[in-house]
Amino acid sequence: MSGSLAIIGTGMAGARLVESLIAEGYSGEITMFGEERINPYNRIQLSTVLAGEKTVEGLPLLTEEWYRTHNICLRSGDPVVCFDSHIRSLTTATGRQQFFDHVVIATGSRPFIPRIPGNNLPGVMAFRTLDDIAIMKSFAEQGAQALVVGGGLLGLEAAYGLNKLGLDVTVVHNSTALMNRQLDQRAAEMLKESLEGRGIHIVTNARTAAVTGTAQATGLQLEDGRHLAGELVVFATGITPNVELFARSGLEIGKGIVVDDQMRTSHPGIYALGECAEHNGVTVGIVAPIWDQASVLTSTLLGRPATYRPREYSTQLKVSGIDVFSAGNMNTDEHCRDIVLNDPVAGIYRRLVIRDNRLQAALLFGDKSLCSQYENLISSGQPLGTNEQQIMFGAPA
Amino acid sequence: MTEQPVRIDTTCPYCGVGCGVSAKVKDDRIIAVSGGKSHPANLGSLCVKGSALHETMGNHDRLLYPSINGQRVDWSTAIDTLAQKISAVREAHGPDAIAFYLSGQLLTEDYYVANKLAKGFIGTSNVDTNSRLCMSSAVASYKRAFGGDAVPCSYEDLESCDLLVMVGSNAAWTHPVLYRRMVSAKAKNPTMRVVVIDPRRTATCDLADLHLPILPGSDSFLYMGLLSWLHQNGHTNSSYIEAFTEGFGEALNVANQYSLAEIATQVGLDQETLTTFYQWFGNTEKTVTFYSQGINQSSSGTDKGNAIINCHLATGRVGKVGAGPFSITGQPNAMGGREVGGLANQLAAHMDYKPEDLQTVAEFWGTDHLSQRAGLKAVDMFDALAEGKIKLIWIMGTNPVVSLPNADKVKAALEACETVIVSDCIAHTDTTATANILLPATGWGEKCGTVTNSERRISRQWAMVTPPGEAQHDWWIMTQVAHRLGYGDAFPYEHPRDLFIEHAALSGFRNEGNRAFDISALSTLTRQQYDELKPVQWPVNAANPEGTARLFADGRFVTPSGKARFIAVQPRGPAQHLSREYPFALNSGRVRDQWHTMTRTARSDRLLNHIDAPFVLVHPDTAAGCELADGDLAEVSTRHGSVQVQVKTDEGMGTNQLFVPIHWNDQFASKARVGALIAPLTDPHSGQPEFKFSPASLRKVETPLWAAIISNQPLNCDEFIYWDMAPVGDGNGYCYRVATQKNFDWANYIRGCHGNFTGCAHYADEQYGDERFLCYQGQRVQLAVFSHRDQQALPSPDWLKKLICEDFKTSPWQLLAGRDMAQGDKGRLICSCFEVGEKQIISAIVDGACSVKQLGEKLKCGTNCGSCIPELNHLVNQTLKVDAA
Repeated sequence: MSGSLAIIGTGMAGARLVESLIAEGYSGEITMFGEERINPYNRIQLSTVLAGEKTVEGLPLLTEEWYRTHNICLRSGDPVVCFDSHIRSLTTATGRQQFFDHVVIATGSRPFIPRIPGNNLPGVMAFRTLDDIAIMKSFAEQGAQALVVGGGLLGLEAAYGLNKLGLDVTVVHNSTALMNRQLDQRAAEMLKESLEGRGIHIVTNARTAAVTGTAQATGLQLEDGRHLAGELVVFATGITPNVELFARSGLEIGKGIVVDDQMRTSHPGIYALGECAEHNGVTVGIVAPIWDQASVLTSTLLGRPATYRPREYSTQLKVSGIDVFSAGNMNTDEHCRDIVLNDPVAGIYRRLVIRDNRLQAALLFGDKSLCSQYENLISSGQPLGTNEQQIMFGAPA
Repeated sequence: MTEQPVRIDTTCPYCGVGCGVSAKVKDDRIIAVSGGKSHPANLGSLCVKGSALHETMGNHDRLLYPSINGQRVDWSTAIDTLAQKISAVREAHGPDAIAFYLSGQLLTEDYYVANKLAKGFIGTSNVDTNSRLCMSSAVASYKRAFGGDAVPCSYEDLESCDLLVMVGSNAAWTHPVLYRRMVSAKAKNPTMRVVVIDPRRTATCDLADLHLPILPGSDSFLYMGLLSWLHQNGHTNSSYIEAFTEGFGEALNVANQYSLAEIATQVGLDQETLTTFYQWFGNTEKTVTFYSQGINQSSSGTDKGNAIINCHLATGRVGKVGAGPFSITGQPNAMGGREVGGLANQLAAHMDYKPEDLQTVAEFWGTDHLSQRAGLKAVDMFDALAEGKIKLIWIMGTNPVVSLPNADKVKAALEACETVIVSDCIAHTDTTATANILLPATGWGEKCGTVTNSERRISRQWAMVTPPGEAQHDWWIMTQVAHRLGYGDAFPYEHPRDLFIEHAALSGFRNEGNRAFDISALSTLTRQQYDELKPVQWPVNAANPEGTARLFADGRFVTPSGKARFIAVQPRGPAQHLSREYPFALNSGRVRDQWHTMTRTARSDRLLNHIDAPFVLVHPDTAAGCELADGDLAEVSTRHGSVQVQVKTDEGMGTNQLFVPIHWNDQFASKARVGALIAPLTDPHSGQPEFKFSPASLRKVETPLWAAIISNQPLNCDEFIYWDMAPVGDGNGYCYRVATQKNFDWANYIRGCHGNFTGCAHYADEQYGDERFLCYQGQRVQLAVFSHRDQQALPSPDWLKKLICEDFKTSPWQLLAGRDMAQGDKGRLICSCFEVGEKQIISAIVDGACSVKQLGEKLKCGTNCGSCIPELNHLVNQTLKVDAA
């Protein structure tokens, strides 16, 4: 397939797609449009940059030279503001209008901030972009207290980064267990202990009622009446797909832009992938399925057959020294069998769930050894055979 | 301070082969051993036990200080107490209330003092030894036939014969160096034939051209049948019989009572096979009959020995090159012990309780306390102990609670006896547990003296390292006691040489050629000459100053008439019969890499790697009939006791036979003392018990959960259904295999161990009862438990031992894998020398190494001591057979 191709979005999905297209020999013209001024970068590493463990220089996914060499027209900081799905024309913030043979929508998502009083006060923010890091650093310089709302992956990574920056950090979580979507009670407790051991305060079972303050955020009012003080309030309470621009153009949209197994939208020549896309009623918020989508979409654009089939994807917490890995469905019934390994002093907890000689889920705390093996076993559904009894330690060579 | 290593030539302390050992000593430690190249017994080779000698040293679990009733005392107090007790018992109850129970492990010099002190001065003749359990029937038959306790053959005869008949000997495992010599000889001499007579198909049968799996205990039928057949078929040497023997006619009459058909029925063979053996024997002038415990350990062992000797006399094949009846000894110094008179029915220097001998010995020793009649043999001695007739017993270097028949009764008798003195190297044995007075003795490598091997060869053992703690030489301890008892003048010994020359002088004293044992040529050795003594075969006297390879070649024997005697043996089977209640014939014996009650061999990891737990060998069909499979726990019971051991199936077993090894005891397993199963039924002439035939039953013991445990401390095993334990070398720990009830609370058990742990990793998979614990301190495992319903799923002992010996480098939780995930499991160790496992060997065979030689080239297995070659052969045959099928 040839012709001109626009990729709307310079996030990780767009970057992955363009890299994959070039690798597979796509020969058409490619133009990328992005809201952020900076070229596509590794957003996953933002928390480690915040923590000072990595620098901004290490973030770009591809070099300037790469885009040049492959004739990619990269328009960072020039977002698409108007889109016509019938004629595949788009208009950017600078007023440029262009027509394309193919358009890929990779606009990603934005943080969801609950609609509570005070949520627009200065000091209230999310954690999504490099710009956010700069703001957080300025709070750190003032010696502010930080409140992070949301004890999921992103919230904890943010809290860890802020803690490393020297802020006094409190995580405010609405459930009993941290990372309750990925962890069980035991792992959540160990995680809480580990974080507390690093000086991060954790408040669980806390539902936020309002951000307090008048000219500037001063803290959080909880539904149960408690008040937590903090000048920086970071919400890590979920994401919203960026799809509004396309709703107006008639594309079929649910939670995200609806795509089929080939990543095609309801309109010919228009495709979507990433956090803005909805497949079989499901939107995604982690990177692994996006890689699969990019691969399928590359084939589609090259006219090769490919089908997107979501797998069980794993999640990992990027907090150095606290290894947490989770994959698969931890919910068990009487047909499941739990294998549990504990070493409290070493801070190790591992749990595997097996159903019918197949690995259903893996939860690794403190040591992620063998995590990729488990991920493959879970997604492939391959029978374990006699390895079942040693799977905790990997199959012997 | 580091010095250059020194090489010292000494002698091995294990079996009766008596191999020369060249030890490398550095910084007061034996760092390596190899076969003594110039020693005539082994000419440089060594079996796996001998090769591991340096691994058995070290101070852990050594007896280091004298103690009385558990309180440490100094030597002076210990000797005083001992002397007082001996005097008191003798005064109150007479000298016969005192008993000495000695060991074929003692050196000749130690033995000499013991015998002299007990019989000559304390005046008790209750001096017996564990040689009673091993050699006494062979001795009694030699004495009946030849007039003296004299093995006529040399090891060279095993190589120069054309027919080697092995009876009741699994030499491949029990006397490996001689077996290797036989193997090489047979390879060099294509006409040489080997017959193995054994109810079991053992590793030794590898060498056999003909294996005769006779019914257990039917040997004398076989040999009396042979005598009759030889005569009927013109194979007897009538001129020899006429000139040098007596009693032939009477023996033949008895032999002729049985037809060939009757003999075949009695021994359980077809006539054709029987005739083949008889023909080979009849037609082969150079025939050696090599026999051991299968003959001796019988209620008619003396008769069996004579039934064999009869056939050699009838064909004139005694003391000739490549011909003779050759009894092979179990222990390193059983013969040396008998030379000094270390049996209750002997006096000293091959003299007996006869008036003229009594006078000779009393005069030589200058004593008027000499005991005047034969004392109690081992089994009777312990009966007397149980009856309270013996009030004081001094046990040296042996473990009768394990090794005697009816061993539970022996244990109870010792526990009840008011004064039990035990001299030993090892702190914890089943026998030291019964002692009131414990005396730390020096062991191999720490003491010097002489031993005599199975071919009458006297060799030096050397002290090479400093004894641990306050351990003393046995001869020194007894000499001190003699002094305290007031016999100082008769015990002026300052060095083993002083004892040796006195013993040598006694052997020649009034010996007009009527006693075969004569080493008078050595009675003037200086200390230097004693130190330089080269291995030499007795007699060593004026006529044979360089020693004597063979005895009786001239047809002159040491009987009063000078003629050898045929014995009219009335053949009979074992004393007990199988019944519906006890339908199996229980046999007992050694395994390849262990020795006696494991006090020394269990100190080497390498030796335990071959077989690390007690077992019962069962024919697969028999096992199936009892609903038993390999690894299941089974109870073997007799009228006298029971053991609980794991099942090993073996197609070489007869379907109504069982075999349990003699080694395991209360230190190493929950209930595995085979001695407890054995009836105290003895040979009427020798007093040797029938260890090779006990009617027994077999039943399964349920084991809901198994566990493998490694610990740096001994464990409390009270709550286990079953346990066995293999110590880890150098006192590093203890490796257990245990069986427990289904829902055993391991967490609670581990809390009860009170270990000083910094961490504990735990794995649980309830589905399989698979629970694993790893308790550690810093980077070192202190205790690890792996439990599982299926024993096969447990980690190998080899892996567990490594776990506790080295700091771990991975995360502790990863060790809960219970195996080396990178390398995989090499399987049960077959070649101990190069640590090659069964799985490695099988995969090499599958990959094309289809002979022992090729396996050796590929894996090195079998290329050092060669002890594993029969097993390698077996694996090659089995694997190729399976592949072909």
